Amino acid sequence: MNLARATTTGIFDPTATARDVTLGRQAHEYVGAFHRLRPTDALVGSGSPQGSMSSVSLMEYVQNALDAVAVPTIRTRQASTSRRADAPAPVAHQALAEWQGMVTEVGETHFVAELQGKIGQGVSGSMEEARIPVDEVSPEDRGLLRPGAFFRLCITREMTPHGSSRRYTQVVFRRMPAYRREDLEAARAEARELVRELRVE
Amino acid sequence: MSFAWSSVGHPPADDEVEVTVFGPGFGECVLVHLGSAHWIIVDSCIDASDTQDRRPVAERYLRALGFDPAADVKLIVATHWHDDHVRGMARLVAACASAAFGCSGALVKQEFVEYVKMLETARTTTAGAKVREIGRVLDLLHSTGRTIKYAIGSRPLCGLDGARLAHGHRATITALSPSDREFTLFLEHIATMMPAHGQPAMAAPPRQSPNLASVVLAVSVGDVNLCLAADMELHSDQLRGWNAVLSEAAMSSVGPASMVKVAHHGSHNGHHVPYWNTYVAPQPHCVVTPFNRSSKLPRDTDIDRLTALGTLYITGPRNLPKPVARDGAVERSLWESGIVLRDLQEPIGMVRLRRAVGAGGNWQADIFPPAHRARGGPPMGIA
Repeated sequence: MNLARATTTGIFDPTATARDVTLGRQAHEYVGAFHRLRPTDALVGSGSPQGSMSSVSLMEYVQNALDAVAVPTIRTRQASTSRRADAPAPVAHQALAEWQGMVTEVGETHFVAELQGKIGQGVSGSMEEARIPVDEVSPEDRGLLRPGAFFRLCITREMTPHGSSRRYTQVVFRRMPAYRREDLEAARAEARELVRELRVE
Repeated sequence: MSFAWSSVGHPPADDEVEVTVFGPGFGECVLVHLGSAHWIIVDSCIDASDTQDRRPVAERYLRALGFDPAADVKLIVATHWHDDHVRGMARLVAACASAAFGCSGALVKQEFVEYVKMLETARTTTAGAKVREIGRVLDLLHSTGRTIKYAIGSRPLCGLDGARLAHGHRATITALSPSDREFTLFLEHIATMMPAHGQPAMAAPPRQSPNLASVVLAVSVGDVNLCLAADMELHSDQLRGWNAVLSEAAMSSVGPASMVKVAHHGSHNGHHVPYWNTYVAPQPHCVVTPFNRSSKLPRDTDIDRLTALGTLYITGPRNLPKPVARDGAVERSLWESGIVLRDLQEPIGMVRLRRAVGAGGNWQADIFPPAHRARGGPPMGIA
């Protein structure tokens, strides 16, 4: 599992996350956040197996954590804890570049997005427009590809203990929280009040 | 690289009309000096290449010239709600504390405000991001009790008596759109995008969202007439777009424009031949704000068309070079994946036109790079 994946699908499986990966401080924070969630942080929809917990709170927490903390290296949990002598040597992952993106147009073969650079030399702090092949989106994320959708574009270097390395590029879509009925009602009421009190000449 | 704000020079004379157009490649903003330190501002943008100062360019420009936005700006108009026209608008409205706010009446209708509030509901860092600015403007107008003026075809938005202006001529700003039909279609369009229970939160409507309810303005100061055409487009429907503008009763009193802020980034679809033939003076000064996103405007054919009509200025760069300075391994990965990136932190350019009122004179142009005069057209300074 890589850093980007942890922002989306891995988020709903804390057991697997704790067993399989350690994502530096980010992952510790995110797993900790998950366990700190109270049952009252009620979840609405969004397909989580933890159907009584808040997708909104959790997603926001993870988003903020990822925005705030830049940890370029990811290691497996086995590498950092009690690895058996005959266990495979750890594989290190280095985030070379990472952008947060929002889809603006979707075509047949490519989509267009606005990117904000998060990690990397010449990337962090940048604002760019990207034209990305739809093929770069994994099949399970294709359904999320639509204007207004958010994703992470990550370029990662994987290094084995034997010295070999490879780079890979991933486009991972963020599963946004669903609108809740009570929030929509509140928005409607707020709009009603605002319109009533606006001073129109 | 943008021009230096310290280089904008001296303020306009009390008897001069000034039209200044900013357009960084995404977004536009127009300032008009009506005379005697009375200004109006149409739309808002920021200088994205300046990461230190995120103030709206209109505020920065007025302060650089020594004006006080809080006292000197009489009217701010948001021609429509797309984010290339409202960036920094909330801060601008706050800075121009005595200005009335003009917009299409559709933007203060229950349906639209509901839509904005619903998109903001998810309260994540990103959901509703693209409507947050217009939401802030509405909240600010609400909390401060500022006056809102509906812009509808043929409605005067602002008038200044000649006695208040050094040149002695009356100044009027008249909305020529949206039509009733556009108004209705806009609200119908918003209804189709309204969030529903269980639907994933979103940031904004698709960029292909039509330019419905865009506000075209006719500005008249004595013998000086301007057309600020926003993103108005052509439609086969007589009740929409430029067709509807030309059918407005106010058109009978609109004088030929010697300066045009060209509609919809100079696109072919924004060019209405009957309008140009009837309501634009010979050899006008035309300013285009480019749109450097996926569909780039203006195209070469647009520039050819407009330079044949008059003097054409473009406020920003076209065909920006790809940024460099990324790690080599990152560049290779992008290339191998077929991903193409383009810098969006475009430097901002400015075109400034000044002309004395009542003297029948010519426009004097100041061009601040990367704004430039397009090839073709008559020599500069000939109106």
